Amino acid sequence: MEQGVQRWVLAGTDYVYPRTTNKILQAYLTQKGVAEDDMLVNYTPFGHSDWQSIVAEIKRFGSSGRKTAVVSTVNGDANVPFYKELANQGISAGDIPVIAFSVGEEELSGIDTAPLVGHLAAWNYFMSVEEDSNFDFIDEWLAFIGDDERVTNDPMEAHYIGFNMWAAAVEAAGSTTPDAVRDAIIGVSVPNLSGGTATMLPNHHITKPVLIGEILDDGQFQVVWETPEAVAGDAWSDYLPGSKDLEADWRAPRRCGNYSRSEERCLAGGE
Amino acid sequence: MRFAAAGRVLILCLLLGVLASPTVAEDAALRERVNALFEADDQRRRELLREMAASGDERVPAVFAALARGALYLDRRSDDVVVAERSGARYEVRDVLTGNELPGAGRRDVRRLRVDNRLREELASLTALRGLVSEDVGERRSAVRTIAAAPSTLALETLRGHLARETDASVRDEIELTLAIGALSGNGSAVSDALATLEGRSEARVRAALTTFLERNDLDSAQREAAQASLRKAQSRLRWLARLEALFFGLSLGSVLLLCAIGLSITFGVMGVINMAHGELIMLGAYASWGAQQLLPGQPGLALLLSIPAAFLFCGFVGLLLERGVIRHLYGRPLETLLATFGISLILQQAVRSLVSPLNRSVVTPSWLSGAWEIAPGLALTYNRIAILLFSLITFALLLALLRFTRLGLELRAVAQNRAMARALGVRSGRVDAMTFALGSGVAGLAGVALSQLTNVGPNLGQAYIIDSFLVVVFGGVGNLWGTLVAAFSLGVANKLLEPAAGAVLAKILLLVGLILFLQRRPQGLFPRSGRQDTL
Repeated sequence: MEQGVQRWVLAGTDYVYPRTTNKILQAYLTQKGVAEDDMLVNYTPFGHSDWQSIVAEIKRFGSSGRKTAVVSTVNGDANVPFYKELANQGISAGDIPVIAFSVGEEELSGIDTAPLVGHLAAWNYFMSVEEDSNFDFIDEWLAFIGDDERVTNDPMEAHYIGFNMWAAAVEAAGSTTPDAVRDAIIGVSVPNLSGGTATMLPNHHITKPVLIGEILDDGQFQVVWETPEAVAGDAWSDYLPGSKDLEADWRAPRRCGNYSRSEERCLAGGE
Repeated sequence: MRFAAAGRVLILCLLLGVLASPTVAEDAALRERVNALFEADDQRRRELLREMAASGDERVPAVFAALARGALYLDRRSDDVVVAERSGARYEVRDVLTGNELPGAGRRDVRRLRVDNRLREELASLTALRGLVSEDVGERRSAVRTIAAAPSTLALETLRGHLARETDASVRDEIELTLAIGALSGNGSAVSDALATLEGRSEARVRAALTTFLERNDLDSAQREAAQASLRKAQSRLRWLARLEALFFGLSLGSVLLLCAIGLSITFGVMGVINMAHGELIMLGAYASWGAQQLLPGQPGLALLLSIPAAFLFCGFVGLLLERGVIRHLYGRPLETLLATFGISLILQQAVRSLVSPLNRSVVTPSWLSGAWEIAPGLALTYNRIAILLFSLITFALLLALLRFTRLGLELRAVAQNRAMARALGVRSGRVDAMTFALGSGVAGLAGVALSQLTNVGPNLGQAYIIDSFLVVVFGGVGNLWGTLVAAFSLGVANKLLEPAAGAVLAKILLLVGLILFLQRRPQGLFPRSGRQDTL
């Protein structure tokens, strides 16, 4: 939006995660005043390898004179033929940037990255984050795995945070029983690898910075945008009618994953 | 011609400042500008780049190229901007101007200079100004296109100046188009002239410019109508081109299906072996092209060409082993063959996972296979797809010739038609079986080489194509190569014609339902084998 993008292609693999993400995105974009005609939603089967018609369609959609971007929730193996086809049909990141939610350093390590340079990805961590804590982590990991070519990525940072949080909660609770840890873990803060801290919220989500990176030739990301501070994770989207009203709160006494504010009761999953 | 060239050089000098060998002062100035890049904000950075381009220093393009690919770093030990390449956990550092090697750096010693799409466009546009005076028409054309993608006032002025000197008609045309698009945002008669130039053009950027133009609210009715008529014309033209394009996409999908299915058509169609490991043979072929590229680093094109025979022989050999080791003991027992080959397919997948890597391998597309052939504005066919289409047809023709004109082909057909009679006439059917299976497997390897240019090379590659391959063979009529050809292309085209309307998922379902209904009526497929058939 800040880049002046006015038309959006929401391309995803046909299963629950992309469909939910796109539902939220569509609701969000509609709220921001994007017309129905300016959104193109497209689903493909897992491992889809023949992207010719879809890329041609994106190209036509994007040649209306207004800046177009693709939000890709295409998963796994289907990504490579997708990016290859984009490059071959002459669509560069400058014309129609693709922002992906599931392409990270590890995925890029098996790809010829030349056609991908300049496309974007959104994560909470990139290996290229220039912080001492991250350098320490990378050095330890490379020494552990014994291979200097390996990369670190966002899911690894998530585990780093998760394990440290659990350890801190166990120390606080003085026990490893799940119930005690669950009560102790809310409010626990541990450092993340991008120079900030992650805090466990009452809804069992944590705070994380959001980074947007552009793919570089060497398979790394260049951070081009980041949130000024860590963002609190939301259990329920504020943009969907069904979940706007819900909230999660695992503190005693409510202990409920989907508490309805209007009905003032826990719909399911509480104790 | 020499005068023209001399003229160009002269103009370059006037344009970019006088070229001279770098003096100490120039050196210092350039170095200072490069170093300032790290701290500068976007606005200042753009100014610095423009100053550098205008200085006409010969070393500037190299600096720009390094910046564009993200290889410029700030060395925190010396506070200088350097060129660094990562190798493993270390960085090899070079001086940004001289290229002299500097002491290597660790992760903590360097900070990358931020580069994003906007900056990259700016850099390309600045570099392209130099390309305008190139002797090579292609280079000039691409320079104009780069400038057109992100036109600055300075660039447009330069283009206007260059137009009079341009000798090549197609480059002139590009320049006129770019200038006309630029003029659309102006006023008065310039706009009307621009509209006249853009009339009936269907290039994407023309349509884009006209659409933006129509959003202006200070237009008179004549201008508005002219723009609208122009757009309408372009759109009706594009509708036709889109149909042609869909047809090509279908043929291209068909060619992939043909390549995958044709090997199966031999093993399944002619020999009657249900080979579930056919997909894995394709996968091995793709790995052969990866292996060839590993053996010949820096020459992806040559490696790819060499991998065609290599993959054929390698997969043929694997096929031979499979036939001699497993399948020949199971002739006449189709269910057991199915299970055994399914097991082999799992073993092969796991072998690749364990021996090579569970991750996808990257096969580089050589430069002569990337990009697209632009037949008309709005209709561009990608080179890799064209190459695969031709490759599949050549493979088909060779296979057909082999079956028709060689001794192996003759024996193969004889065994397929009547094994007992062929044996009685002295054909060693066991040997023929082995060779046939090896041939089918080798062709699967060829399919793998082609697929390595389209999709992931990973252990699961074969899984994605095995079902489609069987579909094509059954639809075309078991044991009929021509049937496989027709089936592959008709399935491909049907899929691509359905896809825009129905979506990728539904198109595939519709096609499957249609196919099942067809096979209900004609279980023998499109082209049933005529005459007496022995079960094998």
